[in-house]
Amino acid sequence: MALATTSELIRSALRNYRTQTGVSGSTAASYAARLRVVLGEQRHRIRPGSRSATRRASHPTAARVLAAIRQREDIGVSATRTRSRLHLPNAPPDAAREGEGAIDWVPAQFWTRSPAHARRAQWRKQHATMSRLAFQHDSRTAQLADYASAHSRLFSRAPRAITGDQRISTLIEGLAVVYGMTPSTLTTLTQGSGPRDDSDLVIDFREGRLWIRLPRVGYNNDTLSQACAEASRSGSDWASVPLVPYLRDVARLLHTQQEPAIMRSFAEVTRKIERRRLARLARSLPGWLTRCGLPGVLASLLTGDFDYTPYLATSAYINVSEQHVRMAHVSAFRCFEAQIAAECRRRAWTFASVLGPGMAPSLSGNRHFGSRIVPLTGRLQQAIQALETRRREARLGGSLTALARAWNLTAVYTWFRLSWAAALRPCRDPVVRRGDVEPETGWIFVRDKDSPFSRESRLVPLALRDAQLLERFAHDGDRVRVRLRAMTRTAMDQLADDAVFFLVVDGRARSLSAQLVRLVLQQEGLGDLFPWPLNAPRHYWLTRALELEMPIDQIEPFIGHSHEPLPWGSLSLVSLKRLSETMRRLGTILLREAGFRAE
Amino acid sequence: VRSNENGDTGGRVRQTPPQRRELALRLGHGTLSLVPQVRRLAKSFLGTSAGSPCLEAVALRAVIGTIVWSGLTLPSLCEALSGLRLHQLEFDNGVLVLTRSGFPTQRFHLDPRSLVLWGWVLLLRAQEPDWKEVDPPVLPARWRDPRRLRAGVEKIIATAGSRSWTVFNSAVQQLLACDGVPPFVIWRRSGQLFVTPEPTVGSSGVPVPTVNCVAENGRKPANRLAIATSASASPSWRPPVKQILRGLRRPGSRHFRRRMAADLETLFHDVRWVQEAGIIGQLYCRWVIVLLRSQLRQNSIRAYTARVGRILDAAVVSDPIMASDSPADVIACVRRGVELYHTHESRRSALRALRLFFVFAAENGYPHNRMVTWHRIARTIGGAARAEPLLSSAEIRAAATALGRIEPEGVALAAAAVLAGCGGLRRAELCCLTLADVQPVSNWTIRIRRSKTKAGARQVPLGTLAPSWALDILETYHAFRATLATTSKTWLVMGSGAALDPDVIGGRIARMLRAVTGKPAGFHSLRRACATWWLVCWISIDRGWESHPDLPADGPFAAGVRAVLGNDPSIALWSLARLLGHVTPIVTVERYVLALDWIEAHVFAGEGRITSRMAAEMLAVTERQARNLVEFHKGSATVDALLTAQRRRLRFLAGDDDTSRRSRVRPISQCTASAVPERRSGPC
Repeated sequence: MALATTSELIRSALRNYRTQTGVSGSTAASYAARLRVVLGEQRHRIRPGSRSATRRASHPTAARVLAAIRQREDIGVSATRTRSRLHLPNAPPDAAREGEGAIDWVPAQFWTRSPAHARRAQWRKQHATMSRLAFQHDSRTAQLADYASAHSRLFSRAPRAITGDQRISTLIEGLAVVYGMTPSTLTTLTQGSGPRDDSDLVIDFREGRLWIRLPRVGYNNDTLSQACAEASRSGSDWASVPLVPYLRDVARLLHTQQEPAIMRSFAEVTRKIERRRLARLARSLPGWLTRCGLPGVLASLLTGDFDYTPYLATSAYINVSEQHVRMAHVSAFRCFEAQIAAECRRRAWTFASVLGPGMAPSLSGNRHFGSRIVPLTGRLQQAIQALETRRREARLGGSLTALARAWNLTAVYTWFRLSWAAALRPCRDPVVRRGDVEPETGWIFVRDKDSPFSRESRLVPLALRDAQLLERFAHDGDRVRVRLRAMTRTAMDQLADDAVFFLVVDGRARSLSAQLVRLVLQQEGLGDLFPWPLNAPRHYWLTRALELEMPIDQIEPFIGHSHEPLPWGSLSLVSLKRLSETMRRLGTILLREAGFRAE
Repeated sequence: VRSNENGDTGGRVRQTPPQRRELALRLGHGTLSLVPQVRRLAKSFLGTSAGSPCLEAVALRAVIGTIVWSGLTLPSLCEALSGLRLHQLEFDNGVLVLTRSGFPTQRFHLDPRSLVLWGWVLLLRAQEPDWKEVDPPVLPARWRDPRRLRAGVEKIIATAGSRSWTVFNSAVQQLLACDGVPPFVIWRRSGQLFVTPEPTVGSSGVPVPTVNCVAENGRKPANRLAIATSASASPSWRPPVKQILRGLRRPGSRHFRRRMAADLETLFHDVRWVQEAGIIGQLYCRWVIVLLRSQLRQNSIRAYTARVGRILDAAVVSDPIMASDSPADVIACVRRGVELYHTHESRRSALRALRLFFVFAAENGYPHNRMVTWHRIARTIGGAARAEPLLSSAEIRAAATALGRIEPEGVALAAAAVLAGCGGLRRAELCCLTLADVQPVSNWTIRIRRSKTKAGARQVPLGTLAPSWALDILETYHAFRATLATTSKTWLVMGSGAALDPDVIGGRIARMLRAVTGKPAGFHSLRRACATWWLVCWISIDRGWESHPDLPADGPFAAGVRAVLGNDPSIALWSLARLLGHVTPIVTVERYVLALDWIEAHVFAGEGRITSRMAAEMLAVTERQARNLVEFHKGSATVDALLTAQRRRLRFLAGDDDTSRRSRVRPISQCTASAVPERRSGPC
């Protein structure tokens, strides 16, 4: 077959070449392009100043961060869209699962050695952080006047007085201005009487209830044992909350009238609504409610959207009841509504409350949802009591076996106590080292997250008694080491000199790990009493903090769920001493609740 | 084999990765356990010791006390302290003014416990013969070498378990954090942040000039290089250019600037001028023409041309430099040019202008721009810090009231002063406000859409923040504005309905501020004062401190400030930055917080008691005499009481305190040998 053109000749030659050598398609395409330049009709012109064809595409995460910032932007008043260039790589999976975004995980490239670039990068980072904080006076935050206008327009008429599509539109916009659900979230709303596999957000018109799928609930059902389930609070990966009275009435009316294909109308109405204004109201609502006293994690939960939120990690740790969430929301919303009512009065607009005259808490349908590994207090006390009973003094003069068993049990007990006193991570927080304890004022230094990029460290407050107990334990450990070195053949090669926690297993001293703790408990016959995963204290901590109405935002950084700006960040005015008081108080309460004796 | 974090595995040292986030605290592992030892070491300095320590030992204690109690962990500390002069230790104010090469001068308020040690050093130094010199060094001769000083300090801190200077600093930072010092203060004291100093206030309440800060009232310390650049020393080609550019001082339109550019172009037709100007003069003139025709604001053009013009007048950048191929020469010339200016800010501005000029020169065939390492020069630019005047709320009110009395646009000017002084608006921002942006109904929320930067778009809830007198002025103006028959949508207009010009507002309000306050204030001082008082209000409530003395009832509405900035101290500065329209809080704290001395004085208000014997040592008198100077309770006195006594005694020794002169305690030089505490001699 005769080859008519140069292009055909090149293509044919490269096909043969590829068959013989097995080079990749992209390489062959590259060769073809070059050969066309050299052998073709000489119509190609190479211009040095032109944009390179091999220029790297923008990083996908950069686009995502940018999109997140844009989403929060009010297009009318801010226009940083052409200037924001945030080239941040993905956060490692572990951190991402805990809700940390690229902005929280600044790698080495942000710590560039060139001071000029470092300063520029720092400014970008701070700009992005400030954008995320969404202050009340931020140009992208909807103000009271905006909410007053929306409330006056939506809720001034009784539900029965509105008809047809208006009723659907009221419900949709109501979900945005009462719960903070953005239009993009509302487009995923489906109808049903309970959780559905094909949706993350379900509305039950008959009951007037919202079902929201949680992004993660600690562990899935498959990895949890039956024993653990029996010893823990019931949990679920579907949160539910009853609608506020006004919206509930609207929903019931929609249900009773059996309007044909309500959800189809939903989609149509959603398209007709002015999305930008509604998005602005919805986006700003969690901030307003948080300022009115709603814990941030619950405010985020009610929006039905956990993307790009600092509360993702905490949401996976808590186990709360429907009633708790509802009352917290109503309490904060009532406070916010009072401000809206004042604004309406100033502007002579009509105002009607969506909460109704009085919302008495009802115990019916008070289901628990969230984490499945929050221990039941009774079972926990039983287990701790058994551990304390079994604990005995480690006598240096006795046999090695007796010493090892007593020491192992002491180490496990002290480690358990520390976990419950400070909610440390069992795996990701490496073992406590000798130089990391300050017994006089009660602080412990935790080296967190052994990431390939860098390391995140934090100071964690401890009750003074527990810090001193840890110090005593370290001294006892020194004596045991001396005994093991001097008088036994115990191998010490795998034990770091400054490790405080160690166990003696199979004639070898090893740093304490979650697996070894389980082994010791099994050996002592206590395995069945501790069916929970070893990070159960963290779940218990955050759940109880919410229930005890502790300021959870003050506890999260010490737990390791920290986000820019940190309390110990360079532009913080926090007094760590004062901040730690909440943590210490909660630690003391929870230790007592768990059944630990005062040492 | 599991590797040790500190150790090695198979001979390879494992590097500790840096912190993931930017932290104020140097969270080095293994240093937390040193905190009790460091605390004990510092405490031992105030405890009774066997025998009287010599001056050298006392000086070392003062240096270590400054690090531990006052948290000064900044680089080159020993270098700065070894050359410390008397004027830098403002003992009466409790402030240490540190000057380090390559960095701007910074003021640090000292903890009373470390200050009392410095007082001890001063009292001992006062007996030495070289103390009679003008502005003598504070440390004894032995510690005036930074290396020796550092070695001496390291020897002592080693006893507290600190293996190195870095480890010690890390332990100190953790100690401060555990004791409740805000991380922002720790960060600043580690040398990471350069804050505009507030003027030193003398005993009469009037700002007094300091040597290293540009003084108020327009007086500047002598700058030899600057004197050499007076008008008479200008090259002959400059006067015609200056004559034309003089018009930049007046507010002018773009057309006016174009005409100036055309006038400059005519100079190129003059052969004699072209010969005199040479390469550099022509380049400068062409650059100015380009600037005049650009979209830049007139103020920016004036600043750029003036900065570079002054450098050319001093002949620092000249034809030989433009012909040179040596990067070293060009860099040296840039450095010399920048050093013509005294303050850090001016130097940065001059460097920016010079860089623009070099970029322009590069486009015209003189590629010297690439020879200069601009960032490196910027990093080590040094210079004194410029003290900004802080206007009190009463002064802002007085100025606004006085402006309101001017006819015919006085009410508008008063409203502008209120928006800047109580709402933190820039002058360009308030000139761009439209009727829709100002909502008196909605609690006077001001919506700023057009600003200097994109980050400037914000909403200021003025009704929540401003005091009632300020809202009254706004109400008055708003009523006046409603009566004007104009179609203009601009909110801030004159009686004729014409919009106000930012430069006009700036000039007129600045003149009034200077007349009312007697301070060298400009329009922007209002914004700075506003930011400062907001922060002072917020932090007073948060920490439960007493109110600032300059913040009476005229100040911002404290509860409103708290509500707007929020309750979370982690983000209070971020919130303040957003309220001011800054991209980053760094700008806010570096340039807008002018009451840092007051804040730090409250943060570092350490308490302690000192035994009578130690007090006598620290006053350099006998124990019996000490009892006359300090009030003891159960054998010990407070640090504050001791400080007061030290101040009195220092004034007495300086011979300028009549009350002390009348006191029974004789100067130490007149004491008998037995009365003077025996000073140990020999090595420390």
